[in-house]
Amino acid sequence: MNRTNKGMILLAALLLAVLIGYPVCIILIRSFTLNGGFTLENYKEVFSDVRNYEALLHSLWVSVCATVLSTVIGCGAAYFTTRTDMPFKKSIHRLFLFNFFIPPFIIAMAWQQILGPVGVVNRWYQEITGSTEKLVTIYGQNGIIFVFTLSGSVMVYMVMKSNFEKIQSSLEEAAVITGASSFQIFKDIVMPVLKPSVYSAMILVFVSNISNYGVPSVLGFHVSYYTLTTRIHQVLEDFSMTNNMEVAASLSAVLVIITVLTLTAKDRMLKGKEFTLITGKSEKAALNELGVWRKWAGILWVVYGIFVTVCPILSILATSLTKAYGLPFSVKNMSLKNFATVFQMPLFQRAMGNSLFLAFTAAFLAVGIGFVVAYLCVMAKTRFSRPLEFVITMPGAIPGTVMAIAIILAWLRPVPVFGFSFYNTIWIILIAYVANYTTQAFRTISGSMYQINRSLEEAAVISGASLAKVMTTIVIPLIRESVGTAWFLIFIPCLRELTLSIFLWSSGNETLATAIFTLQEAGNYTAACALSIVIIGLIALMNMAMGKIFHMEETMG
Amino acid sequence: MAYIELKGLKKKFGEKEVIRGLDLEIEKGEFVSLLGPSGCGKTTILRMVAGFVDPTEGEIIIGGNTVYSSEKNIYVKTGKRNLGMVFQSYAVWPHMNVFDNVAYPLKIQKLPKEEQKRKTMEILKQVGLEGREKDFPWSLSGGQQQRVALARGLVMEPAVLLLDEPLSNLDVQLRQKMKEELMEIQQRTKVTVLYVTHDQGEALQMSDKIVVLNKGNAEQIGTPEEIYHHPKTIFTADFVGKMNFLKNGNKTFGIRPEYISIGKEKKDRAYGISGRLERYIFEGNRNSYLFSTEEGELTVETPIPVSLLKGEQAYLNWDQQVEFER
Repeated sequence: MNRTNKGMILLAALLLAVLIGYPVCIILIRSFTLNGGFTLENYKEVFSDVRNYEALLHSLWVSVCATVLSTVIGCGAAYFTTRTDMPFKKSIHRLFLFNFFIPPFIIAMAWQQILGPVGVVNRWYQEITGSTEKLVTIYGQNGIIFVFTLSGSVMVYMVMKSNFEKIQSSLEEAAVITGASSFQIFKDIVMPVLKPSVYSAMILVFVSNISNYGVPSVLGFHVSYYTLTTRIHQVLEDFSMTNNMEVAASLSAVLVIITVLTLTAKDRMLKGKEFTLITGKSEKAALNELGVWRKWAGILWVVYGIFVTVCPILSILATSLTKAYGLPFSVKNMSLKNFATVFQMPLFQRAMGNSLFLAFTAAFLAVGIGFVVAYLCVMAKTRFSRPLEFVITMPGAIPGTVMAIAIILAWLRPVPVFGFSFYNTIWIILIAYVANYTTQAFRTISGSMYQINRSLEEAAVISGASLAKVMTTIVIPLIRESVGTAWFLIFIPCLRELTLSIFLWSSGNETLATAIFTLQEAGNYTAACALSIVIIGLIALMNMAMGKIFHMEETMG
Repeated sequence: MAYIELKGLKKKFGEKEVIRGLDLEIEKGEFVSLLGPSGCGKTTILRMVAGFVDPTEGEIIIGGNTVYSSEKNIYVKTGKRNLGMVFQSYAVWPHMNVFDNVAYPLKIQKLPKEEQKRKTMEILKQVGLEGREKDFPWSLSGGQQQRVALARGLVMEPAVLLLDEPLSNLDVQLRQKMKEELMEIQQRTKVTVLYVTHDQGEALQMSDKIVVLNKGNAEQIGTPEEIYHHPKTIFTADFVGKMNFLKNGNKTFGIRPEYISIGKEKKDRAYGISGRLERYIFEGNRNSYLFSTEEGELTVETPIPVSLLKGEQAYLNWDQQVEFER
């Protein structure tokens, strides 16, 4: 067996080295270099320039605040929908689920239109009171925390819901026997049992917040409120600095250190804990009766669900249908002209074509690489498996912004053999997508490969089947569902990808998300919103297609 | 030259030596069992024959062809060794029906379609799966899946059929039935079998030859009768069947419980000792008595019960015993 795999190992190692290893190394090297020599100067600048360390503090502050808030809300939602006799559970779940179809930066845009300086709320307030003051402002710290909290609470809800459902009912019944009240059981049994999963959900949300580029960019830029990700972008574009690349690399390194430390802390904390208390199979536990509060609890969570999902969509939809931005929303002012305008824009046509091409190709390539590496790590274990797995899972801890900087640093100069630079072409975006999303493909596919008994493969080898034959007749048919799922799980986020694209796009090589951004920055809100609706529709459609194809009841985008 | 030969086979995993030099010869049509406790290296040997694991040292010859030699640097790929294999987990492919599972080896060898069909149907008949060829594995019982795996292993008429604890996942009744079926099929097809098991009963009942393995060493190679009645080491004596051990000076003697008869006085037999009844257990088809003697404890098994009360003295006689050097 080992003999036939040599070529595969070499190919996988080479691909991963070029795609992930090299860019990540180069970002570290560049952060320690200035004028060709080793230096700590770049890091000194990170911690001495007030704009840099302020961005770091902003990042930590908004991420921590939003994480705490969304954990409270998300756990509450999960508890009520799984462990009580509250009504409307299905609708609430659907509302939360649909939130996944809306990219966070579009949610930020939506709230900007509701709570912004000329947003609905402030206009109504001014009309009613006659005041010229603003009631609320979405820009800056609080707005970012607000939007992060909404999206984060949905993430926590999703994680915790499945964990609440997995708790063995006998654990609780053992407490019921002793005469414990339902509150005592919740406090003494349910919460301690779920503690590891709560931590793990919190870290997931924290890392997602601190890595996010779209939200602080939409809501922070106008008031010069920068987080690490947006500051990195600002530094990169600041050509007055001589060492802007190097400082961006150092800032990126700092960001990666934060995410890696958090994720390592999580692994440490969870080691051996998560699986001991929660088992896969169990019968349904008895639901807590809420009594007179039953209906009110249901209404409260439906309202929150509407707040999280329906409000942003309605806001975007309303703007996309109004003739001109700022006009009050009424039937008289409604038209589909914005959509017509968008569809006719060459920018839209290019972006649509590019995004479809990129998402399609990136999903194929990432799934291909993910499949090969998963095979080498799970099924054909060799001593190279661990290093390969380490490298392919690295992007999981690297924020998109950092990945983008790494890719720029790695591919800016012309490629030796080809003699031209990928920079400013669509190919650098493709490379970035593939590098960033192979982790996802690897995780999905390796997960299903663990389910395959090794002997299923060996039985074919005994029959004389070649490696290619084993792959095509045994391995791939056995995991075709997860390969398909992996493809969709990359295709869909690539379609709306913003963080990588915003650093790498160039004129002619726009993507859907960067097009929305460009339109929005140019003040063309109606067109930006029309395009957002198109993206949301597209994503919802793709998710439904995936669900149909793989007979999955609920899927996450 | 024997049909299958393993010469000086050694395997190290890192620093750990799991097979410490095994020599084994198997004749054509023989049923050979590799018997030993878990961790003795029996599965590793099977996997080295299959080519899934490379030996560190040694030579493997199958049907006159050297398929592995560390010295001559020969390595024949698994698929070219002409083997069939039945796995512990059956490894019946869930995405193929019974026919496709069994016909797979023929398809890989690119036999004509009619030939594939003829051979597959024939072997399915042999294992008693006629009419089930369109069924998918999930609709089959454990025993039926086992038969699919067996048919797939046999369909190519392999030089050797490798069986890796194939019965361990079946319940007791089905296991006995499959044991008999397996022997019948082997005798009909005259296929050479290398069988891995930790169950001494299976090995004794089915094999022409047993290799008793312990910590990577072959303790003894012999027919079931030789292994049972003339074990060469204390390990073999203890692992295969029940054995009493009596110590006298430097020597240890092994006596099978059923060799011993219980009497009131010393009888005219080769060996004897007096003992006190400590415990009596009724086991249905036999009765088990535990005696304490000067040289150690002795268990005696007889089909006919004796009238003896706990604490009473009796004389124990036997003709046959095995002597072990310490």
